[in-house]
Amino acid sequence: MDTTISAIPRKPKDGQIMIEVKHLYKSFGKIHVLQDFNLTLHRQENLVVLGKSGSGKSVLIKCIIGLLKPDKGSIIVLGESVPDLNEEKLDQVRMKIGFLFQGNALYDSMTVRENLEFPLRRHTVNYSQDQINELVAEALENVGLPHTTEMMPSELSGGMLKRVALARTLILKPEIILYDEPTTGLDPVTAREIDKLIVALQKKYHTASIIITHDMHCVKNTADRVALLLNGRCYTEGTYKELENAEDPKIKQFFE
Amino acid sequence: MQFGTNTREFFDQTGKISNFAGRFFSSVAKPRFETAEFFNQCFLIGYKSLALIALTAFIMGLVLTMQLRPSLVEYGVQSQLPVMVGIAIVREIGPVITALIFAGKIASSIGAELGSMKVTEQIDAMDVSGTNPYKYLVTTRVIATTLMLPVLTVLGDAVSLFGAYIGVNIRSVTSFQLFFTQVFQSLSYGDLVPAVIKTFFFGFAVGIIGCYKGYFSSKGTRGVGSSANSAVVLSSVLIFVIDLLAVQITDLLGLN
Ligand SMILES: Nc1ncnc2c1ncn2[C@@H]1O[C@H](COP(=O)(O)OP(=O)(O)O)[C@@H](O)[C@H]1O
Ligand SMILES: [Mg+2]
Repeated sequence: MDTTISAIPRKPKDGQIMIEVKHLYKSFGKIHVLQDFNLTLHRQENLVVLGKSGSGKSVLIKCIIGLLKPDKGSIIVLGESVPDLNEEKLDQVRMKIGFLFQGNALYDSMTVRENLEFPLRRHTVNYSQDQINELVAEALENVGLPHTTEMMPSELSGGMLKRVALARTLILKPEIILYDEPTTGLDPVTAREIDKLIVALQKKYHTASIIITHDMHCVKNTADRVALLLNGRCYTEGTYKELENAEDPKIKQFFE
Repeated sequence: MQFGTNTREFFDQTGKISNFAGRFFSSVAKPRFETAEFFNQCFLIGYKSLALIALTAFIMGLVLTMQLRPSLVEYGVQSQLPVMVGIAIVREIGPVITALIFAGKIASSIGAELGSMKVTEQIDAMDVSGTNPYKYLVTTRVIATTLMLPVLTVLGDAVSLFGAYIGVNIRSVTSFQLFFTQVFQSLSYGDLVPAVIKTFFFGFAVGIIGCYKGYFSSKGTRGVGSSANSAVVLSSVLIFVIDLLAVQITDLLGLN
């Protein structure tokens, strides 16, 4: 495996704060998914949230982007308190956030081009057709799939779908990207390609990202900092190296 | 939907559907208007069910005439056949059969479409890319079904009367002109108008139920299948309930 991509320098911790989650609680009936969860995302940082499946990772980022309402706690994204925003304000914040869904969530009744155009036509900014074409071409170029514009999602392989979904996520040049298990369900080779793409795009556009995963290769390749989600809390955080060398069995179990 | 299992569940479901329908009325007048998607849906919904409705309407008209004839012959009033058939088709059989076919075709396809969009997170993806999914998906489809069903019903009535004309001519000879003169002379606005008005409500019921079942579909293929299925069952039952109410109301208003 190519290890050079993990050699990116760790970003300074005192940069501008992009996302701040404090004392977050979220339950579904009797299932207490998040209990007093805290997290901070700094400018240009790749933060990995590591957790077992079903531990509430998706719930966490869905709260951050406002798809779920937290029971308690504060979520500040780019200076705005997400749970308190009205629809219009929320859209303005969401324009600056990209969200890569675990299952890609490409619109299966639309072509690749229409999928990519959808966010461009939707958010309040008005782009001309030329600008739209340019942005679509650039986005597909970025993910290495320039010739797929007229294809339907059903005609693409798993890895290609992930790339198209990533292109759609990036098309509005977001300041923050939230990745929900970007490598889950892909074969190892494709998964490593996606890792590289995440790192390359982060370098190119200087975005800050939260990457949610339980794939340790992905963590190693992409993380500046790792937060461990356990029993609804942020159990610990540190660099990949720091966690790898930890003696605590609860941390060790992820590295076996 | 099963009425028997649990009374509380029934009222719970009724409340949720009313709430969902209420959202339609509060969102329909507010911009932004999804005009392109609305026309797209009108075309799809109308076009998809046209052939099926024409075929069943034709057969209904034909069969109804053939079944009625012996009774009328018995009383020596077979000359009244066009009148009887015309009234039966325009007042009851046309609207209800068309609505039931429409429910089978459209409620299931809307339920399955929105259901699979829900479980593959396409609805969430719309939400985060600046589109109100309720407005984009539900409002457009509900207006489309509400407007298209009356149009389809009038077309279905016409085809059905043509079927009846063929039916009359199997055993005797009546000119096209005489047949339709007889039919239209016996019909008044009091027959036609209430019958068409109720189809708006049928169309609304089909749209709302299809969307509701899809929008709140549970995960997995099973969930999508059962959304489609229960959308058809529930909207068909509702069509009869609305029909019953409509006949009571026209009775009270003295329009019969
Ligand atoms: N909309 C929901 N309704 C009820 N329970 C949910 C919902 N979303 C998630 N959960 C529950 O929350 C827990 C965490 O889910 P999730 O965040 O999807 O896990 P993961 O860490 O694998 O992404 C699971 O037990 C799941 O059943
Ligand atoms: Mg998840």
